[in-house]
Amino acid sequence: MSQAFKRFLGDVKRLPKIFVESVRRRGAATSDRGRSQAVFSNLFLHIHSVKTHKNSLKPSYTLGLGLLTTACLAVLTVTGILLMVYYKPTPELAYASIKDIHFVVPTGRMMRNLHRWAAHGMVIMVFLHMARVFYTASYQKPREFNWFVGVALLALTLALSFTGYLLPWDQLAYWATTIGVNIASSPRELTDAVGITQYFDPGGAIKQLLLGANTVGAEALIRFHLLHVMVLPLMLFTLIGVHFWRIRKDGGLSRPASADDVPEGEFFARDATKTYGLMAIVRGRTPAVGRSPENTVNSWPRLFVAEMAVLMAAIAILLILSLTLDAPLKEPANPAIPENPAKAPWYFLGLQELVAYSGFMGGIGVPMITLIGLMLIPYLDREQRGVGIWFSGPEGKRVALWSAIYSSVLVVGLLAFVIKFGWLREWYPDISQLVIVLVNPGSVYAVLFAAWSLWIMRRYDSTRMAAIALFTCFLVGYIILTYVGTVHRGPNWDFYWSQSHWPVH
Amino acid sequence: MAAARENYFTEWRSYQRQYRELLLAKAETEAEVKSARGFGIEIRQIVVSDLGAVDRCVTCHLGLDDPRMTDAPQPFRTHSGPALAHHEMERFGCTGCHLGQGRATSAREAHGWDAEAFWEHSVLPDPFHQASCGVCHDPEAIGSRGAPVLAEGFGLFRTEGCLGCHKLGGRGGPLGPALDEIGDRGRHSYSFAHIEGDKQVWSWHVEHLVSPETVIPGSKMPEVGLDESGVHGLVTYLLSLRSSNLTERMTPRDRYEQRYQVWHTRPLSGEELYRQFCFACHEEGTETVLHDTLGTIPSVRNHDLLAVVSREFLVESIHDGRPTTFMPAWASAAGGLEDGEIGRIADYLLESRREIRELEFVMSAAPDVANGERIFNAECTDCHALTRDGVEAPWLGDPGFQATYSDALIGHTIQYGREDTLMIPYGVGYDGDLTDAEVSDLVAFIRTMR
Repeated sequence: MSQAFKRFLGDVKRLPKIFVESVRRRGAATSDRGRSQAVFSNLFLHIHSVKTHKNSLKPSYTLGLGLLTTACLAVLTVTGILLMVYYKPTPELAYASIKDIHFVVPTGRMMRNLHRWAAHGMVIMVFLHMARVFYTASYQKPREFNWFVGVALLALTLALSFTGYLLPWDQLAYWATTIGVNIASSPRELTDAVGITQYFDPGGAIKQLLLGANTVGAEALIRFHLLHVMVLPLMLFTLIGVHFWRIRKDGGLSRPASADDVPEGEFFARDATKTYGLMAIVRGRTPAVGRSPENTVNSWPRLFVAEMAVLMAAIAILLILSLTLDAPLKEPANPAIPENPAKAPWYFLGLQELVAYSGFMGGIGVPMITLIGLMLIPYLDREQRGVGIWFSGPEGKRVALWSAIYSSVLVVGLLAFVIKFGWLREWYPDISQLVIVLVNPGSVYAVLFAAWSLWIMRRYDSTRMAAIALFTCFLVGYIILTYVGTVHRGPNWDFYWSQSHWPVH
Repeated sequence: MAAARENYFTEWRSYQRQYRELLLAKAETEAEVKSARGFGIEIRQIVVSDLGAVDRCVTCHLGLDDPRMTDAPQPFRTHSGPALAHHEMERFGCTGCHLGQGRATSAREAHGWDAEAFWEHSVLPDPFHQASCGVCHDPEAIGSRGAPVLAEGFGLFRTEGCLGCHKLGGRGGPLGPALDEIGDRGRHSYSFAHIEGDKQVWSWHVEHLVSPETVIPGSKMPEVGLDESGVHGLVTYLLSLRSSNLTERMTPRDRYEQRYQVWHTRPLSGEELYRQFCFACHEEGTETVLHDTLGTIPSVRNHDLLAVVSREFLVESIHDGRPTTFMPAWASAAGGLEDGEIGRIADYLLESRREIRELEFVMSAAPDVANGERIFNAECTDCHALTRDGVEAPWLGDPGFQATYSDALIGHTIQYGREDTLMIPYGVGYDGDLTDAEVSDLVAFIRTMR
């Protein structure tokens, strides 16, 4: 037997091992060097840094929210591509293709359920992630731009969720989308009130752009489908790339200044018989300022174990949800029979509550102010106060608590007043339409929230405290309005304590 | 897990396994045993492109065309009756006749008898499934060939006067909603707030026909007053009013014949027209109808009326109606009746005429309107209101009334009354005490009513 043949036989036997080595490129990660190489020689892992700060691994700090958002997105991407195989975006076929996915496509029902619940999950997680980043002051320098990108990602997430809502083409989808598009076209309310609609009609232009017609129909469906599976995902993934890249470029996850302190005293026992270089005995900060290696650990394997745990938990929860709860699918869309109440997707119900008073301010004005305000927070609050600390310390916690109370009382109070006694039009039937358009309970809230925030700024002499006050007010207001819109609004947008009190229809 | 659920635990898989056992038990020949062994567990469906149907009913209803399964338990039993002999399953599918959700693969969702389920049409139960025969077939001709309930309903529809208030194909009164394609309206188009039975379209219609005002509070529709079989027939006919874009090859012969009849229509007789368009309100027409919601409906075949009015009077009254009452105009542009048809209805009414009397009343030269008003307030307002809102007796300001009643006719009616109605005589010499001059005053006042 020739040598070459022997070698060949040996290689055949070792084929699996050789293959694995060729993939890994390194041996088992037994040394710090090996562990570092495990990260940066791997396309999928090298987005992480080789070393991870201990603070970033504390579950109580990040709560894993960004990762959970990513997990939802991963599930959405995979299930979304699978759903696209069977989904047909035309009014005649859309509903029937969802029925086919539900009833006969292998695991189709499961995929649709996963897609639905992961979409809701992603919206919730994006909100929570934003709240976490805000309350730990992680938007402050040098992470201002990444916060900006994050707000854009929030808007994209909502847009993706909203465009996906129409695709099943059932009554729920049809009328929720109709409501949503009407909200988007509400600048027309303002231009009507001023009387310039025939010259300048941005509301009508938005509507035409979204629907390609005057009502939701075949054109709208294909546009929403295109946005949902192509345009918005491309934008989302691009921005997510920027978002992740900036995390590393901005110095990793934020952490309190104290997290970089080197523990007091000797951090390794010195052997009296040995001599040491300067680097080993110097106290305090190492030359790598702000990145003390003493408080970091190798990303491999600790970070990845933590990440896998969060990912698996997310997927487990989504799987359980999808096995037990079917995604809703009502009767086929029927433009002749409006749903009553016709409700937008839940995360827009807070807006719909405000829209009930006047479309422009409730649906465009206040949300745009909120979104722009959110984006500008890091540029207006330049204090480096309590970065990496929840609420920037006990004082911030107190401000947040009082702001939550202030906002709850204000929002619930005014809402109860309006539900009981009506709004401007009921009191002054002849009032100018312009006043109706501009003076919405939402604008009242915005003004009073801003006033509260300015008062806090004066009282505590701190823009960070003012930011906490403002953000908390808006967050609590959003939650309460969404809750009222979801639970307490029934047919004709009338107030009901529960759905069981709705008039039977 | 999802895969496991789908591969082992679905309802239809268990049915198909049971059916394989059943096939093996019933197999007698070698070939039958072999084919039973080869019975695969898989989704079965019929796709009917002509009807836009994808029917997976046959995934569980496995023995429909197997004559050995006549005594098998459901869902395996052979299709009953001769229907399948003329409607091959491959050509017609299931939901074309039975409705329901053909794409579904679970019994609950396919049949849709659960009120919580979301889709348009539930599977029609016996006897309402006969409605589907009427979608393609002539409802009259199909009566003797398997759809007697539908045929009975069609008959009742033409004799109970439904078209008096409801339009169908452009003909009929405007008071109620049109009935075109009413069978297409799914469960979500109905309000079940006052329905005691199943929350299903057919039970809605049954309860609504029995007592319209219970189901739709404020409805003016009269109760039809039929027995259960009549109500079921009428509901079956209503549910058969579905849109059908039948391709030529799907159109049955009796439908062609019926169309042919429509093109060369035999004119409906005056009586047939009366039953179709007038009967619901006027009933037989020989007595005044005192209706809860529609008010007092005049007796149009009253011999005393017919003795003094002309054929033109009747034609004009039907043609233009009484605009301020529930009596609509029946001209072809409104109610859809042709002039000839209105004439035949008038002729039918005149069949009840016993004699012709000349009008003898003559108006005085200078009637006193003020005096007429005084008399009207004293004598007439018990029944006739001064405004259109009173419903006790016809409102005399109605433009239709004003246009068709001559002074002489009004005066005559006041003097003479109208026998067999609530209108009693008021003239001196006719059991009353109004002089000719006073009646003239009254007529003059009535002329001012608007």
